Amino acid sequence: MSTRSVIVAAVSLALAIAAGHASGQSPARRITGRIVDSADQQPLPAAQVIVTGTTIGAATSDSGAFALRVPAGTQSLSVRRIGYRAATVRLGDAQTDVTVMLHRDILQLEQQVITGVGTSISSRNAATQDPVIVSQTINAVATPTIENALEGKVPGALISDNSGAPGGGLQVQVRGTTSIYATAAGQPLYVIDGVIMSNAAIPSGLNSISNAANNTSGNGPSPQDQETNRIADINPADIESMQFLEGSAASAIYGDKGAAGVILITTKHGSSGKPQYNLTQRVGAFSLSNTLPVRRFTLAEAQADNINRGGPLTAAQVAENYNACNGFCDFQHQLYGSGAGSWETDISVSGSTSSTQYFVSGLSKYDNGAEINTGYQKQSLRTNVVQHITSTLTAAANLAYSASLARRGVNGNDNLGIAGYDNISYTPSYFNMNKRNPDGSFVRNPYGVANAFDDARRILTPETVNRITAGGNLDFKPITNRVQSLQFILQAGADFANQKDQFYAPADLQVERSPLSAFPGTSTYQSASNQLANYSISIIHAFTGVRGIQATTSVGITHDQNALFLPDIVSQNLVAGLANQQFGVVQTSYYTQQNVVNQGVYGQEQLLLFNERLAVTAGINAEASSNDGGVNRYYPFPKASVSYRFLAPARGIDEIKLRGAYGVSGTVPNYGVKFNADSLRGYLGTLGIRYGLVAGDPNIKPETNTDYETGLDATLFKGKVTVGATVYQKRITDLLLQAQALPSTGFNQQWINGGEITNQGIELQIAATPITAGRFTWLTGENFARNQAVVNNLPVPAFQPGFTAFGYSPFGGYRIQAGASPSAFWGQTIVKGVPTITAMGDANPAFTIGFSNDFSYGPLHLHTFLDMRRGFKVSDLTEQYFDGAHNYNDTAGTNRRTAAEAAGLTPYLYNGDYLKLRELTLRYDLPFGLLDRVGRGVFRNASISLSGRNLVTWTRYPGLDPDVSNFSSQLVGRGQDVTPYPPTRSYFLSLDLGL
Amino acid sequence: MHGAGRRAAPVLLALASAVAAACSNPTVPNYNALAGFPHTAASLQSEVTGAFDGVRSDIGNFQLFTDGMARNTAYFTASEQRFVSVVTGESFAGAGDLFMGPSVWDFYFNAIKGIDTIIGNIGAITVPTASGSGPLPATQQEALFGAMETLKAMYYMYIAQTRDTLGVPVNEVGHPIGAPPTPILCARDVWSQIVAMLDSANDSLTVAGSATAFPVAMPPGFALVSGNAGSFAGFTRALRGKARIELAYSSGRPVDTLSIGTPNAAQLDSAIADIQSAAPVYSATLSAAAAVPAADLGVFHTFSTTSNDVQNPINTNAAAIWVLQDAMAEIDTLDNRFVAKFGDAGAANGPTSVGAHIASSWHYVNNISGNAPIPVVRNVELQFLLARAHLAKGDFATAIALVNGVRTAVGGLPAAAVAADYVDARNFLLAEQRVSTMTEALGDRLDALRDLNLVAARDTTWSARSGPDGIANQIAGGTKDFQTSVIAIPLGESGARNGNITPACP
Repeated sequence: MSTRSVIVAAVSLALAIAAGHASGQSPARRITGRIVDSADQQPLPAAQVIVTGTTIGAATSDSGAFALRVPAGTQSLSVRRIGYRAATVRLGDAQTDVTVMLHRDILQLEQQVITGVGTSISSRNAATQDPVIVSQTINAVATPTIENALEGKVPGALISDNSGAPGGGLQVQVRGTTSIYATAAGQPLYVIDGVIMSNAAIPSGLNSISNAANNTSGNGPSPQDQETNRIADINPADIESMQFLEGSAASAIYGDKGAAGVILITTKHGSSGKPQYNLTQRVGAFSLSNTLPVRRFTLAEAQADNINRGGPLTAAQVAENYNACNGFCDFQHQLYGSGAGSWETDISVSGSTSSTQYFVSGLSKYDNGAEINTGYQKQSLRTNVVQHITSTLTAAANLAYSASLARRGVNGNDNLGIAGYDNISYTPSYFNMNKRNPDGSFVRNPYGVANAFDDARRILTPETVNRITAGGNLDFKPITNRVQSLQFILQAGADFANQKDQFYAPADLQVERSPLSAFPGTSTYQSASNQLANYSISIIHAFTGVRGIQATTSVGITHDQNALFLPDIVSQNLVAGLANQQFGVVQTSYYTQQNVVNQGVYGQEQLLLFNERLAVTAGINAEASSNDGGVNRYYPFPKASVSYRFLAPARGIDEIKLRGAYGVSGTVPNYGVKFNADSLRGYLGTLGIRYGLVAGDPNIKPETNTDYETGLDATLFKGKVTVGATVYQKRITDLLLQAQALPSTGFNQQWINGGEITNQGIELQIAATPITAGRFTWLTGENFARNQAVVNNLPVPAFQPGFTAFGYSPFGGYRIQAGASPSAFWGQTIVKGVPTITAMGDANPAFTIGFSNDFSYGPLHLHTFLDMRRGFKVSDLTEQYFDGAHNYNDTAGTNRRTAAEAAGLTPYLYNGDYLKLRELTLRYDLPFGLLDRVGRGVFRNASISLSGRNLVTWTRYPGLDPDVSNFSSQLVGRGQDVTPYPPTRSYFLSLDLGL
Repeated sequence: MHGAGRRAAPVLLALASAVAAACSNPTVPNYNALAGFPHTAASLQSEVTGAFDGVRSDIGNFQLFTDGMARNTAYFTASEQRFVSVVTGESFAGAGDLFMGPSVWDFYFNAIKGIDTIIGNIGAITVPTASGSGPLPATQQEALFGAMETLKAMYYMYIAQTRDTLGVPVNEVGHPIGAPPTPILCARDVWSQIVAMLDSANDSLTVAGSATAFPVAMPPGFALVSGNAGSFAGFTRALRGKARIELAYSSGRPVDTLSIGTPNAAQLDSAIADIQSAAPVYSATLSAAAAVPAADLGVFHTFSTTSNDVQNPINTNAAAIWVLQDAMAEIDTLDNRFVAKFGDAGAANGPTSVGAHIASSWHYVNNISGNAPIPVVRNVELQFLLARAHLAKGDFATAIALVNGVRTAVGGLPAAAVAADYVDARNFLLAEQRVSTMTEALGDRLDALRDLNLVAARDTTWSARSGPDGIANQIAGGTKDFQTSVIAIPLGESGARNGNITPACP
């Protein structure tokens, strides 16, 4: 789209508005009224009352009252409020007063679904499947980070833990694999209150201590650093709702940032009337939820085993150690059985004056880690203010600050033998490793290179994050009348995060003095800054001048910029006892910088026809990015959708909506891939040019994701049951790929666009209130999702993607090959004596099911949520570690797997199917009478609850947890279990007070 | 038009103008890579330094793989047992294996590309002159060409040593990506091309004049030869001597096999002449100090533990590099050459990882650090190369004398009494070469084992699955010997050639 055409369209729009405005005048009368809850007749503040078919509206006050000027003649009012089903009431010709009763929307039938910057549509009319998760669902159970609270609840969004480490680290994958190499597609885009916010995962530099990436030229930051996505910084209690834009028809408004889906977060805003205080206090703990079957020995077996291991201990020493542990040193519970507690305090106040709405919240929490000397603490503060400056001008601003400190220890892959479970894998259970010498130091582990207890207590891994996010908008609505409104919206935001990792491994640790560590003592300092800023300017025109038709036109521009600065200093060979980087004999610095600028221009038309039965939306967004080869080329991302509601088409069916949508979104290329990767390196004081092995592509362009989806939504039995079904196809073309160049040319890879992946899937949802009898209600909800991905074609030979190459035998590995799933695990078999690789399963589940049930009996509430995943594989390297050291109790299994490995097979690839009891809460609402007596009118409400998360896992997977990813969030390459931080379950007792 | 409408129209126009203004996207530079480099005097130094730096990060792989394949040492690490199981031939690593992957391949061709860039622009390089600026003096152009061509040949030699019968594509560097590839040359032609490069380099250094100084500084490890073209030519001839021995063997045997055949006598004579004229790298006089490689006459890759430099890549693994029992069977632990590198950890403190049963308790702990140099070529090595040439010519007595010279002068051991016959002289040479140069990333013993067709004999102490009778038969055709004597052509190379990696001898 050219700039000129945008200007012409804008001018045309202005003229149309002027003409419409001139004809929109008519006599009016004043209507007053109240909106109340149908159940208890209590007034409902903050309800939106609109004269049907117009843009004339008002919000109710704290007492549920409103006043409007409505056009003459017979009219009707449409009333909407979050948490209630919409209602429409007719007004007589002369009627000037009305009371409207709203029914609670238990099944969440009525929600406003965001369709663009400043535009939305009722979920009744939405043409796409955009699940909305509300605050109550998010905060039903205490959660480490926001993603934990969503696991299994959003059909089409596969949300998985990377490990059990405190402080988060999860991956959200929407409708399957979207890319192989384009890192921006690794996570959905997060937009908070209309402003893009970073979800960057910045490596910590742990690799300098763990040597996980095993670089011969040094150990800088690595994806194996147990990264945490920065969306962990948001306080779940601040969230009002989360909307998932899963298909491109919905996410096209975010253009080349939308292919992996978009999550729109709306935070809480001020309530109407006087200040309302809410306080939540939680106390609880995280504890180890699973252990591995470590080998147990008789004393005679221990003596023989010690000899087999080279006899590092004398027979007397073996006996002494054996007896000290009563035959079994339970390293797992000793190391990962931290008894520390956790707590969380949330406090908020919200309210409004005549022109100002405000919401202020604060959080302080501490999550203990299961491993000794690990944990996560966070404090955050948020302020949301809405100021009605004039009747046509509103300003909103939000400011949030968070500070966190995470200590995650050393877990996951390593190449030293230092990670906790790596250490346990090679240390026999008859050796009392958790023992100190008379001088207080830990005993040396003669069976390997490290003592896990010494490492856990003395290796420091603090990661502090300070983050400020600010956003706001100016909403100017100069024209509002019976037939049209005109609105200008300026939205802007900024997001500044600093992540500081200062790790220290003392020089006198056994592992630092081992033959594998050339430079005893490691101290690292990394201070990463991530800066994101964005703004948009939108013009929205709503036209209601023709009966039965609502037309909303929006045009605008968007701009965003994201910069990352990642300096890292690694100091080794430290003078004993000193952590200061200055005192390392060997000092190495690493530095990475990235910057990307994106710009777009968009237009959208949204029509509601036939009294809101037919909804039609079409639009186009054109975006350019500095990461593209041609920085001034705007790539188009069109979309179109339609839905139609059939009212009461049959007995027992309240309504059926059929819908279909088409949309295109994209993913920008990675920073720097349009350049050759030439660099400079020192050679004893002189800088030398190193020509890059990877050739850039100066014509690189965004990946393109073309979606089609169709479905139906139905409401049955007078709103007691809702069902929804969606089928989709998602075709990604122009994949960002590394083509194999002939290495003997001097380049071994070249970035290109090419190839195609298709995801096809089905998503089902059902919600119902099967029993509502007296004081008892039962609300149930189930979701089902199935996605199948296939690489349709590749312009390059099949390959193993980076960071996943553990080979095919014995663990299984990833392989991108035409005709196969991009997330397939490939393993090796021997066919007629020749090693042959073949697809053996998939890292992504064949299907997922979420079961939610809420039972209420008066003030007593029971909430359960079960998460099932079936048909996926996990590569259990941890088991192979134990087998290699003959340290599993199942020695027959060890022998079987070891023989299979020797034969070139793939014995460590397992089915990961599981059913998890994700959430369980029992809540008691204190009676109002009691509150009144105790609090003398101070308390509005109070409740006590006992909740648990991840309490039970039913699985045949032999490892710690099938929900695992050694390489953190990956486009492909999850499901690799390499001595991870073990999984935890949590219990919390909570007190909620409303004042 | 109503008042509000009239007010809105100019606002719209202003916003439309803002859209137009915002539609020019700023260009963001690449902060993490270079964007072009002019061929000035200042840049020439960086380009030449880069050419010397080219393979330093990967040279550790050359050491670990060739020393393991020669059954000298192995890297025992619990986290990557393939350094033992694959390198020593106990498990299979064919062309599709990613473990050895692009080792001793990608970086080397990449470095050669950098050298070709310098060579291609020597005439275009401008330097300050009395009258302002001008091209490099002709003698310095010749000297620079000679040095760069030598370096290029050196990198090709590393590749050829690890691939041998599998061949090497010598004419591919710089070809456009996607263009039809040139053939992979057979070992004979690879060595012939390498010798030709070194001929050309030697000619240019001769034309430059022995006193001509280089227009750039070279790394400290080249200090012995970087003073002028004349001294550098000694290095060039040392490499040429080594290359000619390989050419002699590869010319004398049927293509693509490991039989001994009849080594080319003329090449052997030229090799001897080259080495004996390789001063200052070569000297007939040996010193006891040469037990420590860095103290010997020679040319070295040098390393540093300072930031943004490369530390010795073996150092990080050194203490986990254990001498194999096979090697210990013929090593005197009082030998100065052995003591200079290895220490005894004690029987109870050997490696505990997979394959530990084949390791001794001696590991690499002496004279190794992040700053320790790795030899490119050194005088002790040249003595053994001379001995090999004489052995191939049938002059067993001279060969034995050369080897005994190293044994006594450097090893500090009494001369060995060795019968002057082929087998005894050969075995004596291999045993003394092993203790003299193991862990030094020279690859000579592996070269010798192949040239002398001893791969099968060497493998008899290993698993039945290893060696030509085991591994080779697992590969279709059974004609290629993989990691027991050569590293496979990397998957990237064979894939980009659609699997057509059969070497040609045009």
